[in-house]
Amino acid sequence: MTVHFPSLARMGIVFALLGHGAAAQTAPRADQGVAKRQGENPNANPEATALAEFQQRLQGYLDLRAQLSGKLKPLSPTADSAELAARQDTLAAAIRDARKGAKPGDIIPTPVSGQIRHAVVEDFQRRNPDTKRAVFSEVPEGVRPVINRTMPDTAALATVPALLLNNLPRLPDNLQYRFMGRHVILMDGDTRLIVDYILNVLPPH
Amino acid sequence: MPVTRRTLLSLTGQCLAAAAAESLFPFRVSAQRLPGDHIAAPAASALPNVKDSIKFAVIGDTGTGGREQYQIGKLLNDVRARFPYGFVTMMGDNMYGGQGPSDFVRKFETPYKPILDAGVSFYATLGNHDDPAQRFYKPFNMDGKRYYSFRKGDVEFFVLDSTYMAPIQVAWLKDVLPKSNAKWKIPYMHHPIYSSGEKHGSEEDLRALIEPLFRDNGVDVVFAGHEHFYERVKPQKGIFYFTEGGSAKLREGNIRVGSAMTEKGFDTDNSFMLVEIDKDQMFFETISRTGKVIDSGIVPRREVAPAIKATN
Repeated sequence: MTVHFPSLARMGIVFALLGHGAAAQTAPRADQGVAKRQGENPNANPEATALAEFQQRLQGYLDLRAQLSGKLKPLSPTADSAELAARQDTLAAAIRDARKGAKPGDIIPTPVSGQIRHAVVEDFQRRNPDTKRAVFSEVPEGVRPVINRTMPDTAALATVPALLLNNLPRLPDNLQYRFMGRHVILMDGDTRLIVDYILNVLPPH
Repeated sequence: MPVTRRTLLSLTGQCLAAAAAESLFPFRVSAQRLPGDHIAAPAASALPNVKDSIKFAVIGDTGTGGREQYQIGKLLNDVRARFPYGFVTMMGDNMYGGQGPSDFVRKFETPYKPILDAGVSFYATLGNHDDPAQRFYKPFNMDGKRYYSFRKGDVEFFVLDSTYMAPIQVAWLKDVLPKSNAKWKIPYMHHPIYSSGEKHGSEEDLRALIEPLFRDNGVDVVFAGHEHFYERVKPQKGIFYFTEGGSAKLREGNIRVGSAMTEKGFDTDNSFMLVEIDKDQMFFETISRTGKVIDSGIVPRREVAPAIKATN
């Protein structure tokens, strides 16, 4: 099996179509950071600019979480499952409160969501029906993602194919890409909170 | 005829199967026997039970809180009288459905209470049904990590999170496997990279990424779960793969008939494994929910060439 890396050139085209062409004034609020960066350095690779913005936003989320965690009992090993659940719920509640007005795209800039969409589509195009079926068989269906809601603990966390993960923009270790229906979720691995999402990425199944 | 690893395993299996058939009676009847059950620990064993060897049990896909989980839990406790294993490796799906405090009690603490009380440690891996926060639950011994390693004597276990094999985890494995000086290096994870299961089958993405690391770094044996049955796969590139995902759930008849991969399969009842590693041999015994030995054998350790260092 060959590991496919998305072509930077193609990524660039996707980026251009999705965001680079827009001026700062017309960019959606969530993408103004990307447009500003590009405006400051017009010769920079647009893909790298968008990814840098993405990484900065991820770091911002982690900083916020660390700041909130510092005021709470830490998520650290405990033999008391009630205590563990309480710590997890308290942290989730604090993040939810701090990100009350969060909207789709606040963490994943539009150009990066384009890159993710492209990588997923390309990945599923090369899969045979059996491996597609295996991936889709455990994807929770019939639910629409909502930022700051937790992934339901009664549903399986569908496995994101390892070779696809290789081709997606890197995440810090405690944030994860997950699937929900046809949507890609950015999930906080400690609280199961939906941090951001991209709609209708996976092929119909 | 030269005795290869394969023939040794096969011959041993045949002898042990005959011995096991003899050993099925008389059963030691469970004190908590339920109507309609035929639960008994096997009276004899294929395991040498050598003093100071590494002894452990393998269970997978356990967290239902259902009757079958409790029955396997009871057997796991019973067999300790003849085979005093010190720890249990869990192949993931430690908790199905709800993951609240009462679920930890009903789906883990109660069914394994006698073993936990006896000081047996559990080392869990995460399955696709598990909340990643389980890694903070102390009795799972994950120390807050999704993937980790632990050592017992000459054996080092590499516990992987196969539900989310991001590049950072592959890089970790690439780093720690060659550095380990353990005689036996045993990875385990939830998803099998070789499987004859009709429902899931082999995890080919994972295989592409991690099999070369296993092959190049002296791995002899790999355990997994996910498929709700027991399967011993024919050695692949010199490595033995075991799937034990039927220690509570069962997907009856799910092993593909005629699969060229299967050396031994069992998909008609729940099961668990007992393993003993003594010097250069790994002995194993797989036991059904009715206490029957359904597979057993010996895996000799390969003569390992100096580990091939990762080149990038």
